[in-house]
Amino acid sequence: MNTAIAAPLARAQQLAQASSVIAVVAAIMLAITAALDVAAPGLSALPELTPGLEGTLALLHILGAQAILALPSFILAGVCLDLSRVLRAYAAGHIFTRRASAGVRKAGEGILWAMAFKCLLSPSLYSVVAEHARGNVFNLRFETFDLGLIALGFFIMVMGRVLQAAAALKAENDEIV
Amino acid sequence: MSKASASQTAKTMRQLSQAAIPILIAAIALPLIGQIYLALFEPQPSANAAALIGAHVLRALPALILAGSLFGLVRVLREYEAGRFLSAEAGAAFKRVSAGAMIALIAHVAAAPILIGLIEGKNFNEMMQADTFSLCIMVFCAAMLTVGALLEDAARVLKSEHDQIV
Repeated sequence: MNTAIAAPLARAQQLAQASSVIAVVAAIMLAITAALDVAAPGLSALPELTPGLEGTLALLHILGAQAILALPSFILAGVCLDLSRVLRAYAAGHIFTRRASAGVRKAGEGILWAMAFKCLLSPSLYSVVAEHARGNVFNLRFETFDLGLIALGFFIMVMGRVLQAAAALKAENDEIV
Repeated sequence: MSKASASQTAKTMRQLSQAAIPILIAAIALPLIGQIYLALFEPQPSANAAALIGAHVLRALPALILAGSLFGLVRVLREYEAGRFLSAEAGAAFKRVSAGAMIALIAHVAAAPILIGLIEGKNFNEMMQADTFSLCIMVFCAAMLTVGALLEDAARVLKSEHDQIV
């Protein structure tokens, strides 16, 4: 192998290794922040709640409503973990494999789910759970920037699908050889 | 999925993206044009039209950068369509798309809010929009940038090995 050509690949693999660690750290931080966002309103409401079943139910209601709003962040934490696995596979030199390509596809799908929850599902579910659907249940919250992120997630998912198919072909060819 | 059907999927997606990305840009640009029109021809009393237009443009700019960078995916899909699944061009184009998305996110989270805040005379705390969701999308884009770089370098190495054998 030409070493001058292989050197950037080795550097990129090191970068992938570092990025996989960063992705894991980001996933953990995101999960912790989202969990704190869920817990904080419950903790602040605690002194006002009456002890017993009614108070416990009210606390669960508050926590459940906040958990719905935090769902997109939890999904993104999962996406970061998926990506860290892909990057670890790349760092190990398994670049054109079915598993790594499936990871890219899953990351794209994860972004789409996170955006679906952020823009539509979480606000609608929240209006049902927390506000008892006063007014409109269909609650769409999105900026123009979110449209771009949805398109990005969609194309990454498609790319992952095509790469997965191509990796399957390569694996078949390798078996024949 | 056979090679032909993978190429066919890439072709369909390329055609879809070539149709969808201009629509996406229009969905971002048309409201902006409307806002600029209102600021110019139907201004609020005591409103500074130039500052208002500047704020509207800055608000739309990150989305426009992101939508514009998505055009690079057409090049990636064109390579896949031709059956070149591990090509340096596809990897480089994917890397450029990820870099564009990263720049758009930085503009969305930091640059645009700060500039809009300066125009509207807000304090620093009101300007920043960095929530954990945006930061994680940034990590996602950084990871995709690494994926693009790896695919590009892996394709180069593969080509070099192939050339040596030939």
